[in-house]
Order: sequence, then C-alpha cells, then structure tokens
Amino acid sequence: MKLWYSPRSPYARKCRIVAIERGVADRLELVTADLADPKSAQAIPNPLGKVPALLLDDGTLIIDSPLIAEHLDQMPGLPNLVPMEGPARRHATQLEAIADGICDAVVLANLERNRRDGERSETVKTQQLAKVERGLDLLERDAARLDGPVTIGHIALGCMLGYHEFRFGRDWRRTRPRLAAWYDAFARRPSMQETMPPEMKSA
Amino acid sequence: MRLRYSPASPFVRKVVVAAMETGLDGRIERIATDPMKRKDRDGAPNPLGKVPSLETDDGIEIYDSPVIVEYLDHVAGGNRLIPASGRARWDALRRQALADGILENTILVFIETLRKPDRRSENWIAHNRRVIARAIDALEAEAAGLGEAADIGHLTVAIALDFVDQHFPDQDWRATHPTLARWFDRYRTRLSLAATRLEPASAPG
Repeated sequence: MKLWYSPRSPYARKCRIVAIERGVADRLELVTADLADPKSAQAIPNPLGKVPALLLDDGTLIIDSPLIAEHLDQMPGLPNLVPMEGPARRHATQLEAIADGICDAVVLANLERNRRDGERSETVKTQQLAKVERGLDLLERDAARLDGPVTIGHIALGCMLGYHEFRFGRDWRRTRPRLAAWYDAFARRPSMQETMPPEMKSA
Repeated sequence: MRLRYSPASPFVRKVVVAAMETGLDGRIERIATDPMKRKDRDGAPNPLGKVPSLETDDGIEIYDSPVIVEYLDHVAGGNRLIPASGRARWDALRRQALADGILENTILVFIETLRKPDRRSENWIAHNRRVIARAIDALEAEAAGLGEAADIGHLTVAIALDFVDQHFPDQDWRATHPTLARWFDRYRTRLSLAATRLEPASAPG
C-alpha cells in the first residue's frame, strides 16, 4: 500500500498520524511528491493532482484525506480514531470538516500572498484570513468539547493549527488561550513530533 | 431540518438531490443564503461562511456537504446514498471526492474570472482547468462501470459535469469522452437532477 504525501501538507500529515497512532505505519510505503515539480505532481495517482493519495495493493485508489484516514482506521490495529456510528461519528467528522475547511482557507491565503506582483490581491487574502479567524474563534468557544478520546477530528485540528502557525505565525494564540493550550499538549504526541517538517520546528 | 440554501451552489444542489433521493426533501426548510454577500456570510452558522449548512431537528449545525449527505443517509435508515461497506462504499465516496474536486476547481476558476483583468492569473486559471480536464479523463476511464445507482458517487459526478457544462460551454468534453457522455446524458434525466438545475451565480456583494 502506497501513500503519496508531501512533507508540509497538513492533509497528508493527518493520514500519516492516523497510521502511526494505529500502529500500521510500517505497512505504508511513503512516496514523497514535490508539488512544485510538474513531473512529480503528475506521478500522483489522484487525477486532481493532490496529496494525500492512497493506492492499495489491488490497485484501488483512495482519495481524499477523510477517506484515506477512514481506510487506515479500518485496518487491524490499535484503538480506532474514526468512530463509525452515532453522535461520536458526527462529532468527530464535524470537527474534521471544520479543521479541514479552515485549512483550505489558510492554503488559499498563502497562495494569494505568494502570487507575483500585480496579480496579488490584499482583499482576497484578507477575506480568506477572516474565515480563518472566525473558525478559530468558534473552536476557542467550543474548546471544552475537545476533551475526551482522540479522534480524527483532533488530529485534523492539530495538523491545521500547526500549518496555520507555520504560515502565519503565533498571533492566533493571543485571543485563544484554551485552543493554544490544547494544541501545545497535543503537539507533544510522538505522532505529531514524528510528522512535523523540520522547517516547521524552527518556525 | 433547516438548510442554508443558495440556488447557485452545486454543493447545495448535492444536498437537495440527496434529500430528494432519500425522500427527506419535504422535511427540510430552505433558508435563502447568498455566500457572495457579506451580510449572509457573516450571519452564517458555518464560520467559513459557506453553504450548504444544515441545522438538524436537535439544533445541531452540520456542514460541509459530505458530512450533511452522510447525516441524511443516516436519517433515512442508512445504506441509501452511501453503501455501508466494501468496494461499493469506497467507489461511491471516491467518486464524490473526485467530483467535489471538479466543482472546487471550477469555482476557483469562476472566482478568478471575477477579478479585474490586471489582477487575474492566467496561469492559475490554466492550472485549474488542467486539473478539471484530468479528472474528466479519469471519469471516462471508469465510465463503463457507471450505471443507474443513486449513490452519492453517481449523483455528484452528474452534478459536476453539469457544472462544467454551465461554466465552460466551450469545453467540448463529450467528443473526447464518449462513454462518459452517453452515461451522463441518460443519467441526468433523473427526477432529482432534472428538478434542481442551478441558477447562474451572482457577482460578489
């Protein structure tokens, strides 16, 4: 089974963490994709050209990150991270959807910032970052709901916060003490440490 | 249930189609929301300001569209839109993800074309259109396996192809993707799809 990833992708990191947390990482062959290199990007089996992409030994392709996480979660291993039924599932997948949605806005804001002069729009960047701010405010307000067993929702949240801080710095922490405290504790997990790109450590 | 609704959003259309296919449409009240308007964005329960967003009868707010679809499937008794297990489940969910990708990239192109010409990136438009073209190639490669099933994979693929037709009338994908075209032209006559054609999107407000 092969997992295409790029070291900085928060969505791929989510899947790598699921594999590590469940003790199935040794069954994954990791393939590094360099999204800036068209040749490397074209080799990703996902027609959308995105990572992560999981190719099973029987040739079945699994995209995108929530589905890959669910698939890895169904392999025999340590306790599950993706509840399959009831309120627990809705709670976990909803948190994952919010975290991934905020992450999408962080990615778009960063792309906008990196456009060349003339094509860059402060308005677009500001709009995307406003979504991020509102999303983080909601998460801070609901931070008490982060207590309890770790699920795919927590993992998505940890990956999103790490990526956001890497791209846009530590300012987000000022008005969100509970979320920041949660993140600092979560980031100490060995799976988070192991999947942290070196440049993120020094950021 | 209350659905934040925009008649221009293909992701809202997916939820409405899913509701019709499971017979839940009559239990969903629609609240008109224009995600291009700041007032509606700021008042949205989804902090990202996006539609669709569904408030359940228990007062829980859920989004985005894959999460809502799964919820509707659950309310309808399960195994209706999303096969419960096995290959059928992965096929349905993978096709939904692929079709959602086509929708997202089409929306990125649309938003880019709303920019002033001198702030527009032709490279970005070309990149996204290439992604859409590759995704349609991938659908053609598996089109012989598409049938009449009303699972979320089939339904979202049809919604995505409709959206491509609406936004890129110049892209004659049918000529080069005949198997997919034959399937699509038959499948899109389903009642749930025929009853939910999109209105053109408004400019941002």
